Amino acid sequence: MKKIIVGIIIFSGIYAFLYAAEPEPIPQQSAGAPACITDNETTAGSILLSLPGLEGGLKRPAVSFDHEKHTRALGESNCRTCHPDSLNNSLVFTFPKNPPDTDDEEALMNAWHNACISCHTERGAEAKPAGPLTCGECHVRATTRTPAKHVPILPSYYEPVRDTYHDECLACHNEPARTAQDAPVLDWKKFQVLQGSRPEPQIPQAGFDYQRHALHTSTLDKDCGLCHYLSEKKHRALADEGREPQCRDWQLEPNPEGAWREQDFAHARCVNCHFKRTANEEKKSGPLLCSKCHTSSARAPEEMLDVTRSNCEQKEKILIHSNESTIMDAVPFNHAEHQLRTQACQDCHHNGIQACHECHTVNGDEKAEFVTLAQAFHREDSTRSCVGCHETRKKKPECAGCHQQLPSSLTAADACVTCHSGSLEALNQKRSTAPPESLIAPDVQDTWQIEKLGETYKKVTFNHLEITRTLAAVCNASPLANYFHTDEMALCAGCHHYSPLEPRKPVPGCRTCHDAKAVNASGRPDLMGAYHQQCLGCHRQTGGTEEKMPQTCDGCHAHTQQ
Amino acid sequence: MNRRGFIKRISSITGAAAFGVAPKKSAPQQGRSEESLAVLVDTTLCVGCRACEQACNEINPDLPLIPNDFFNDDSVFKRRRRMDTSAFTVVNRYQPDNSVAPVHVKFQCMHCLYPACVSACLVGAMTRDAGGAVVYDEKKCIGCRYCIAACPFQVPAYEYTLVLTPRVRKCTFCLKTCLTQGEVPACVAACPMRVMTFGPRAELITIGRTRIRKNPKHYIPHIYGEHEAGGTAWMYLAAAPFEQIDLPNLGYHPLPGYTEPVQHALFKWFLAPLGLFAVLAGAMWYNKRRNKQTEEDT
Repeated sequence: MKKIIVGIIIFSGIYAFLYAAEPEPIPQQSAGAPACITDNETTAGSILLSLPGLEGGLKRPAVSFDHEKHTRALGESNCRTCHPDSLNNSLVFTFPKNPPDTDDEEALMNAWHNACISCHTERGAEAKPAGPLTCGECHVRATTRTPAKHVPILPSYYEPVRDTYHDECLACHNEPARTAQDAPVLDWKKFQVLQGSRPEPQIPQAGFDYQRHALHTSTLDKDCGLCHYLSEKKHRALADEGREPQCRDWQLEPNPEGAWREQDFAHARCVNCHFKRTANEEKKSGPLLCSKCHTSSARAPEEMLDVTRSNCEQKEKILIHSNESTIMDAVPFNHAEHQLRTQACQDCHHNGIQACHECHTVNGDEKAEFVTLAQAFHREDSTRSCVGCHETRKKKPECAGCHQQLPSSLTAADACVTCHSGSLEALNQKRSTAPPESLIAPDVQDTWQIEKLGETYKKVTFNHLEITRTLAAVCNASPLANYFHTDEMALCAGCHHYSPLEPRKPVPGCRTCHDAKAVNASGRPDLMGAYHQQCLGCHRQTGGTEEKMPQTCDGCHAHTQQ
Repeated sequence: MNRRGFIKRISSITGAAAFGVAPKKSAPQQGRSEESLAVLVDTTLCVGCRACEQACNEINPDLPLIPNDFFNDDSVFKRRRRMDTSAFTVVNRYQPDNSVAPVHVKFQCMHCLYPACVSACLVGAMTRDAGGAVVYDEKKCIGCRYCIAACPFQVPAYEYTLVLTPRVRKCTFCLKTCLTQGEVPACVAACPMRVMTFGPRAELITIGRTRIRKNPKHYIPHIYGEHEAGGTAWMYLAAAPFEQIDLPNLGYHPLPGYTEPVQHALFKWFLAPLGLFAVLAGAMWYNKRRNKQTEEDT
């Protein structure tokens, strides 16, 4: 009994002590001490500083480095605080100033730490705005984002069917077996699946669009050599020919030991030039702050219609072809029209302005990362390919109403010859802009009533002529639509699918195929389903007003009860 | 009998019971899915008008009659509903990551090919009709609600408020109201967008695959319910990942396949009760002998 009482006393003593000894609050930084920079101006964003190759892995989260914050704190023209000079007195945008000689990442880490912390300490001592000194203030765990990676597995839902339904898989995968011999080689394990989210670049790209190019050209008095590069050899060759370098003569700058990334070239050229012009107090100089070039909003092509496109001796209309023999005819291409609908040449051309077939060969080449000529033009998931860009265009509200119900452009029966016509003549063709009344069969009324709606709903007034006129207006408004809807009856195909269409000839009505009573065994909807899927499908995609394109029941047919 | 021998005997008995316990996952028999009737729901077509909910309420007279206004009220989409004693089917609205427009999904009993509720029912009140419907017989039900716990889709509801005559409530596939009269289920007939297609299961799978193949970018290339939990009669096509529209990832093996081998093996030849009685008898005999010995010793 004695033992228990002693135990209780000791225990309660410890308990009381622990509660009494509450940690003292950490003293706040006094007013005089240097505070962290807290300017609320928006910056371009942060770069993630990480050393993935560090032995034993990273012990702390990577540093999310806000470059612009530092530029503002140090002053725009004090780049030399962090970046070293090169031989010809221009800046090299590497960090730190005195990098270690070895490739060892631990040495690099120490150099970073020395450079950052010494500066933070010095500035802190001088009571200037300075960065933090404790580890956890720089090494902040960023919002977790699972890095995207390609995993060589099928999605789990394929597992039960993986061996039996090869044709099912190949229906969607873009790379079907080309020959019968190929087919057995296809291994389902080789299908790669993207898992996780692709980390978005934290700083938006500095888009060099037509507007910026024109601005630079006029400011720099068309001295293209200030930005573009020409090798000694090419220089001499041009001098021998006795002509000035043209757009297509400019070359890619050689990469010293392959160590420079694309942005390193841009920074070396752009920022150095801006830096020098600012230092010489020239009238027009470019910005030095990150967010002035790295703007998050890109200029839409429509805003740059009046900007003169660079003259690279490009023809207005060209015939896209290959130097190798191909089975398909060449594609007429209106370069001038496409120039007006892109933000920069690089939207289609990668680096430089060569023709596509110079790198993309029929069988694929290392230069183009083995993207074949056919893929370069036809890949639906690319923003650079013809088909990819046109497919995106078809998702615009005014197009999607019809096109979401139609098969993809590559699977349509006459898809190939629409583009591969082989002559420039095709570019002159235009869809007939005749009034749509002239296409409709003579005995078709302008409007009619859809009846037999059961007891719940009243009749629907269906305005056939107005719908046709709207479609015609949409097609006439866009040169793209006008070019591709060559068949004047293409207007009608969105609704009258699977029907032969000829001007002024009667078209089979909906109920020819869609039975009023039963759902067809093949899953074809009955008449009510067909009406609703067709009408509402278009109305929902187009997103028009409730009055013109209703999306609710009462918008088309009134309730009988009310 | 010494202590060691006693433990040996017990372990041999439990070992025998455990021998047949290794869980076997029974695969779907081929015939089962071919014959049964099914419904294919194309969620990409649904506009959320809830005509199906209304039709369901009208065709089932023992459901409380809900006024017309409720089915035109858009505010029900604010919360995620589930089936209850007043509704055998509900339509919910979702906003998946990959879609701008909201997605509407109709829920009801999935009428599994290998229903967990049927497997869990002690008295056979839940049965699977040869046509494919999983039906409930309130006369047999004892109210244990094992079916509610067993259902992976959280379908059955229980009338807790009815103290004396509570029932389990769930979609009947309109077996008595429509199917036996040669009609399609009420919700399928009512749908103005024809989101649902009713027919033999094998044909619907072909229809679903054809739709995916014709429009591969539009759909997730999978028919939910073709294989899930061994297959269900109600199958779904969707443009959004199925997890995001509340269709759970259940694996492809019939759920009773996980529990039945254990239970059936345990009770094979009355082995588990016999084993228990043997253990009890052994313990009795041992205690009796020990008591006798202590008596003799004293």
